Amino acid sequence: MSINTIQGMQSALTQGLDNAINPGQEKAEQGFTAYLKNSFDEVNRSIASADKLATDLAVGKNENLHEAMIGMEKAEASFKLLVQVRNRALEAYHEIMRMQV
Amino acid sequence: MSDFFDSLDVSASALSAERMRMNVTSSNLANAQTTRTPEGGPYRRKDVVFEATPTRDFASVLSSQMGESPLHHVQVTDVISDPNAPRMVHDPNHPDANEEGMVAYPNVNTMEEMVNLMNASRTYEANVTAINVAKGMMGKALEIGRK
Repeated sequence: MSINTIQGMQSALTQGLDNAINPGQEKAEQGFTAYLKNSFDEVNRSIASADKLATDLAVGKNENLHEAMIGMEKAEASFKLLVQVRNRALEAYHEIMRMQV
Repeated sequence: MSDFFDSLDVSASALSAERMRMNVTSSNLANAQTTRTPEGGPYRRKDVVFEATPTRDFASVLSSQMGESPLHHVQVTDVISDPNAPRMVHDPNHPDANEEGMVAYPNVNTMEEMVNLMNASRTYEANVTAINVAKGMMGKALEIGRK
């Protein structure tokens, strides 16, 4: 049994997700993977910008301590959300794998 | 349209503004006895002027122009000098004394500045609390459906 067989269901699921996120927008080839990848990129950007804020603060380019802290908080929140999305996806996958055939 | 991060940005602007107020108050306290300034005369008490500005990014500016977003950042737009007259003290031996032996000291009231400092500190604290509450709400949202 290949993973491909559950992709139909996945795309049906992510279609709803995509519609919820970007209503009324035409989607070119997009599955859950693309959505996940986009989220990864976004979280990565957020973490990179938090990193930059901390570096700027350390080298004295930026003296706004609170901005660095808030940037880090934002990165943390985005990352937590990503982890939750991953947990849900894995949970769904496990649920399907446990299914009796 | 506003997300959780908007409230963080608004609070961040308030933190910047309060820090500015704290800096200005420190300057007032530090110069409470200063009789000479580059502009001549004693130091004059400074005060900050806050202004509400629409949030910074394009989408927020657009929606606030269309009257949709009630969110406003706070910004220090001006630092003004207190127009009150300087405090005159009789001290003929002071090098800056006038012909009548009176010295013009800054119109800074230390007590008042301390209160301003406390005010700035408490407002800062309040904004940090707002940030933490927003963060707590985000955390709570992530707990939906947790087993």
